[in-house]
Amino acid sequence: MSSLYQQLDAPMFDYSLATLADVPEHALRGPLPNLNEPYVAFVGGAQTFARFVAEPFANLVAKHLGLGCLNLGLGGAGPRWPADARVLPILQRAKLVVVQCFAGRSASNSLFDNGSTGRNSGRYLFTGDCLTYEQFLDEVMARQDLSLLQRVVHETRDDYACSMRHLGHCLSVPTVLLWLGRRRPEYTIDWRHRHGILNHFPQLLDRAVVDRVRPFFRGYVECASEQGLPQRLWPAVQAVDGTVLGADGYLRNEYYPSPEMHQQAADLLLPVCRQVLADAAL
Amino acid sequence: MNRFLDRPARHRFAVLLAPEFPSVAHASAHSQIVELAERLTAAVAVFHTAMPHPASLPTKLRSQIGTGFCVSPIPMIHANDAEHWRDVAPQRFAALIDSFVQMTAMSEAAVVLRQDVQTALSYARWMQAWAPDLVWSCGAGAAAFTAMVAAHLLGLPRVLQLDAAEPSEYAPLLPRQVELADLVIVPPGALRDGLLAQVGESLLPKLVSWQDGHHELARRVHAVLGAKAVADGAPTRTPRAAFLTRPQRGGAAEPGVRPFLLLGAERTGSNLLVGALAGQSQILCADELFNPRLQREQQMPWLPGVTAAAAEVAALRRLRAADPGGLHARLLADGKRAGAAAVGFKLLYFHGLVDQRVLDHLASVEDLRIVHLVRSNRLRRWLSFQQATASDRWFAAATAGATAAAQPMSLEVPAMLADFACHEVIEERYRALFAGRATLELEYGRFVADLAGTARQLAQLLECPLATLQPRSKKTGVESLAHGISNWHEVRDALLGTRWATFLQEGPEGAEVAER
Repeated sequence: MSSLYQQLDAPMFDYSLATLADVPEHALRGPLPNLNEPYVAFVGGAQTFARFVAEPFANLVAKHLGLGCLNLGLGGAGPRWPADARVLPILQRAKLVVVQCFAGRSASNSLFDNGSTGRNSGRYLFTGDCLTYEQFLDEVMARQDLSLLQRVVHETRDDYACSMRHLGHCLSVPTVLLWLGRRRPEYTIDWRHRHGILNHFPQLLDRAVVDRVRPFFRGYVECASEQGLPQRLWPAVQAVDGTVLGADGYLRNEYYPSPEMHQQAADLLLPVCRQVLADAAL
Repeated sequence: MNRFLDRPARHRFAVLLAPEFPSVAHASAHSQIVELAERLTAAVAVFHTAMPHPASLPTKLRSQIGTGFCVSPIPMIHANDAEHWRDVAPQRFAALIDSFVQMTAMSEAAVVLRQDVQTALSYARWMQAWAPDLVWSCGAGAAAFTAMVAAHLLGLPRVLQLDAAEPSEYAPLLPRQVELADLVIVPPGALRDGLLAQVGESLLPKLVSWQDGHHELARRVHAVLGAKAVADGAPTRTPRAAFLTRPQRGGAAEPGVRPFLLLGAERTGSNLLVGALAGQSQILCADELFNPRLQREQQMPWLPGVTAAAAEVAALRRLRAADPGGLHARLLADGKRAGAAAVGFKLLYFHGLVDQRVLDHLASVEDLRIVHLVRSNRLRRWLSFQQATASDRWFAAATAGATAAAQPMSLEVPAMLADFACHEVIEERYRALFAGRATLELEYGRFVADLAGTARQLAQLLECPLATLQPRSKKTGVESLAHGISNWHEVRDALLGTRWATFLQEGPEGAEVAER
């Protein structure tokens, strides 16, 4: 996904993609730090990767802490990504790990198995087809069985919470959980349509899920903002994935956190990270 | 014989040895269990998912090929079986999953998605159909895990047979396995002592050994079976259809039209029959309404000659997704409007097994008539299926010119045998599901050879006159098995000495039925 972002966004952004020897199949946002020196790891989705942002919150925070920055943000990632046996040891060697609240759709339920990808695509058990979570929801909604729909959404949230709790439990280094989105966690599901179920990023998560996960991390930061959205990008003749073509002939970002939101997240994270590091040093 | 319908007043032991049956490694255990069961006048069925290559078996075990109860390994079927348990035994299912959640700290979804759990739920469903009185497993591995799941869901006593300590991913479960079992057969020595040390002296009353003698073992097993007399009492059986469908109200009734179903596995002549029925004035038969592939491709096969506008097709697709019974009702209504006296559609076995709602509905349709297509020569069916899958060519129009001869295929023997066994049991399942319905069973070789006779039988079943059946497709398979199978000698040697050896006969299909 990172390589696709770089390919699409090349007119305006250089994400300095790089790979770690242990997980060579994933291009990560660079530059990579020297892992033999102290670093802070940031793990999350495309928001942590910071599509359409020159200076991600991860870099801002790491710079102020005087630590190297390891950005493990991957588009579409869910909580199974950092639990990968190759990734977890890298996180355990960090001075601090900031875990972004991944999208809740990047988890499994009893009819949708994302175990092989850990991302927002998986196998729909009734047909064996590989679907995105959105396509899966469409399939379930087409059955017009509200109790089934409610069950799979409940199970997805439960699976998400279990995976996040497991991650928090496994990490023996200081950790901070970050909510980054254009909304607060509270919302009431409208079962009649897909967006009413998923809502804005981090899709599907509500306050109850956050409350289940939060105790497993030492710090928690909630950054909910729409500042800087929509973000004007570069002139184009047609929209590219993840953008909208405006009437002025410029692409617009209406989905990913804007540079202003990254700055806000960094401002909120910094004191909490310092406190968590200070507590750990005692 | 139908394993789901024939229920003699004997106890039944569902036995789990290993994924493969028969196997050299478990031959001795199997013999012991069978011998003990005979003392108790009990029947034994070995449940398994795979078949060995017969070349790996000694002669005496070859005769056991095809005698087990082969559970389909298809994940989509497993998914429906999980849903089945959620529906028919919600409390037991929830308690089972919750116990695994507590043990593993995994989410409920992650537990249900585990392949071993899905497989075990499927085994349990087939066992429910056979209605055993006892579940018996050997070893501390996957078989014991499956037996634990099945016995819990079915509320049955369980015998756990441990012959030796063995490395297994399930080893941490062993103390729990032993606690939950009703009887533990374990040889004296380190394994037994280790279990006692782990679980405690409370385990002692459950322990027994083959060295205690068959008489003592029979006594202990009999005690586990409960107060029911082995010899003279008819054991309580699960209602026959309980495992097959969920209760539904009668559906799809359309006065003045007779509903029918063209049922069968792939490559049993269903295309030929659907095509031949297309020329009838009073009978309308749609193609594969519930084919998952057609659903994925947004296709909606409908009644021949009854065309629907694009918007209507979209509405039908939505109806198919939301309410298969509603779609069937619509099919009948459209057929009636078109002047048909009998309206049906084609359902391949697989289509019903991956969407439980379809069978739930069909089982509830009063007056549904069944045209059940079977192909006695499963080797020819499997070869034809493999050829069609490889070429993605499932149909050849009768008007098409000479078709290129099918290339010889190499058949993987264990997969072929598993297909034979799985289709036998699925065939029986459908027969049980529609037992009591007006049914015409058409054997492929015979009906192809006698379309006029088939037309008369169909007319009788559907109670309407039939014009001559005109095939619109032609046979695509090979005439000679020896020419169509590139590893013919291997296949032939594998089947010789098994009860499927008759499939090797060359000549017209259907002949082997008469000879059996």
